[in-house]
Amino acid sequence: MRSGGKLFLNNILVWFALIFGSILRNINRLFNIVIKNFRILIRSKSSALIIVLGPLLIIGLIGIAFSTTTVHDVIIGVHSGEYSDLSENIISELEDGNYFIKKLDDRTACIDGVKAGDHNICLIFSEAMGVGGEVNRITFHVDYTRVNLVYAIMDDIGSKLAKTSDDLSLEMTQIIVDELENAKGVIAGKLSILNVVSEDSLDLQEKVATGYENLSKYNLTKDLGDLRYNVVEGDFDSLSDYLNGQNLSTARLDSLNTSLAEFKENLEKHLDDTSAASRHMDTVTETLESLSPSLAKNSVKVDQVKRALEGVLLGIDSIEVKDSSEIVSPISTSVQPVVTEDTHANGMFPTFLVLVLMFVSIMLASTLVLNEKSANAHFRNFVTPTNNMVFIIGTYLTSLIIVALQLLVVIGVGATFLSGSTLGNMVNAIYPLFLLASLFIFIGICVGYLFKSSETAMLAALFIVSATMFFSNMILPIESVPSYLQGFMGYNPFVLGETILKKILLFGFGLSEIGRECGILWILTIVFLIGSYLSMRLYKRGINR
Amino acid sequence: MVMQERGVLELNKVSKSYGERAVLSEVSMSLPHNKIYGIIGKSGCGKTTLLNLLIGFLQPSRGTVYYQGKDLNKVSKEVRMKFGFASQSYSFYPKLSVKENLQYFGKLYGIGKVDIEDRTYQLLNMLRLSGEENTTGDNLSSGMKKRLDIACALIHDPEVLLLDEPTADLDPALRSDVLSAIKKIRAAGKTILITTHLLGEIEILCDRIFLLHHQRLKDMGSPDHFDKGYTKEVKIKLKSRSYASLYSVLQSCPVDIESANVEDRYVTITTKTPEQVMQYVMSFAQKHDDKIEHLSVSRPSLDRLFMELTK
Repeated sequence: MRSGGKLFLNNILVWFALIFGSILRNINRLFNIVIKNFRILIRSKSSALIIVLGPLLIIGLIGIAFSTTTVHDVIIGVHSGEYSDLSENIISELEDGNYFIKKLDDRTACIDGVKAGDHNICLIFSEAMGVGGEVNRITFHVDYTRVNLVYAIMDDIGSKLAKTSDDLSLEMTQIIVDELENAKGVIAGKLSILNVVSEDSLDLQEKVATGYENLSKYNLTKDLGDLRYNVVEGDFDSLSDYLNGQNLSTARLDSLNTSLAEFKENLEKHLDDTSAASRHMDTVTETLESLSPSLAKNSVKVDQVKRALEGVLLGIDSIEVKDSSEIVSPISTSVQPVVTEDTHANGMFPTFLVLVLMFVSIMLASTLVLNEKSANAHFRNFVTPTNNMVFIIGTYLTSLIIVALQLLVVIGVGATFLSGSTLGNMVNAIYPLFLLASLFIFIGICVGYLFKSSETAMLAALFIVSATMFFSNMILPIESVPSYLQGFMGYNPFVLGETILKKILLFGFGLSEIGRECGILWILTIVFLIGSYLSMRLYKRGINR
Repeated sequence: MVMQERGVLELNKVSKSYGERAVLSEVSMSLPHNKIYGIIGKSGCGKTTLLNLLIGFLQPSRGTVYYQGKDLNKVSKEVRMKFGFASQSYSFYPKLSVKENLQYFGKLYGIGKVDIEDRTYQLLNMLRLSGEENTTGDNLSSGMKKRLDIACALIHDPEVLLLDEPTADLDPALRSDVLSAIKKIRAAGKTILITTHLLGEIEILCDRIFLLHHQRLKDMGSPDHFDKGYTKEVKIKLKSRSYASLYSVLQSCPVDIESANVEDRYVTITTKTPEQVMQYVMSFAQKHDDKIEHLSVSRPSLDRLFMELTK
């Protein structure tokens, strides 16, 4: 048993020695292949030029081309049947915004100019635009085939026009607000008069009532009977008879009778006047009687008007916002970038980085494989006792080292136009960059082995690069493609890389927050590593024929 | 064909086909150690395929290739170490120097650094590449390129060297260079298998020749076997003052003459019995006091034999 155990241990040790030896031998072979690849690349001037200068050129161009946040040299064609001060103002506003304005006499010429590329956009102003104008409309005619430019120009012009439109609205609203304030003052002033009127009306009503009441007390409809004139007349007759008995002179009696008759006549006349006065008083009383409810009604109406005006005043007072700018834009919007975008290049750097990485990795790896295939020496490689995987890993390592060097150059050059925070987050980006480079290199190796001629392989590499770009945010937003494709695009290495690098470089995400994307990249990398091996086997089978 | 002696390499009814197209059919051969073997045959007869099968680059569709009695398909890849191969085109990296190429392939064969240095030195001397160590492959002459290719095939000190058209596209001087290199390699104790169209070389170099025709092994043997077995006629060319008389006598002479013709005072006689014809000619000259000014005897070349055999 003891010797059996020893034998087993010896066997294990031998196995370990063999495996260790095999690994060491393969590592030596790997280094050998990598060194050979580098020697060949360096000695081939054109390859070295493309490999070293290519990415430098790309990043340099990117830096120059996208180092601003605005669009330049945009020509705007404008046309109006009748230019007004407002339209001229808008045009001068656009001119101040660094746009070239081309006034066109014809609407069709303006639109056709966009089609012909003579100008980038055509603005048709409605005739005699202005405050109080019937139709104040500006129509944009754009070439949607230049989607990004159209959006950029429309956004800029739109914001300039919106400002002009806001200014106009502000002006008009201010007039309304001022009128309201004026009305408020007038109403407030007239309300005191109404108060006086109301009070006077009440007072008058009271006085009428009092007058009516006082007048009602008087009964002027008296006759001689009411004044007991018969009694006076009887007494006078008695007195006359008595005086006749006393032998008084008739003259005196006559005088008395005359006076009495005059008195009676005067009294009757007075009674007639009183009767007339009574009738008049009745009329006045009636008038006063009818006046009182009218006055009461008037008073009520005055109160109603007063309350209404008070309500209006309260309404005006209750308007919290009287600032015309707040009325014009009750909800003010402002777009704040989640990151400070100093230039286009800064914001798009992650995209450029993935783009350069993808181009260089796929092209380089496929070129290395194609160079190897076109060299007759690869035949001798295959007859050596070297595992196929060693050659694949050799190509992978060569490409990875070159890509890493190129990325260093790209980031170094990029540092001149990148913000500090973007560069500061670069350390976290090393891991996903390594994954992305590995994936793209294995894709390149697959392409190199699967296609027989260098021309078709290059076409295939370009097709892959183009396809990944088309199915990404590079040209159109992912959201604009059909939903059934969107899910698929989530696995696009370019999209994954762009997402990861944006999260890390621009938003400062940590590695733990990009775990899902990195997981997908790992799976894709392993798939394409296996694919590389299988495509190499397929290629070998092909040359065996 | 029956294998007569056990060889370091043996093929037993080996066939190779790509789909319906057969490129090699039931080829059997045995290659004993330390000899040079030549494989001749028309283009497309399967020569290169045969070499690819021997180095294990191809798998036979049927039959077995044995190396030292072991099935080549079943032995580990390390056995490939025993084979060196130089293809028709130069199988080295033109952008690497002579030394770098040798070191690169040496390392791929898993040879240690010191051994590679020693081996490189030996090969450079043997193949007359000394002084060109640092010259890149693309700056070598054609002959040097071929020798570098052979050096790369020998860097791991294989027992069997397979050379596919080693002298193709080389001028006579360079060809001679390569042939002398091959002789040196044989002298170093290697078994060499050569395919070539240039049959004259085969004749000079090879111990045994295999003739492939229509994907089959049509014949094999020493150059002498081919020479004697197939050579029926000898051409005798002579010049004398009485050439006209000789020509007319030859028309009715008792010795076996296939044909005779005269051109520019030269008489050319084709015969299967050259000794008798020579005796007759010499006696004729003596009798007529004539002097033979020129005499040459030539057997038909392997090229002509090859043409006849592969008709």
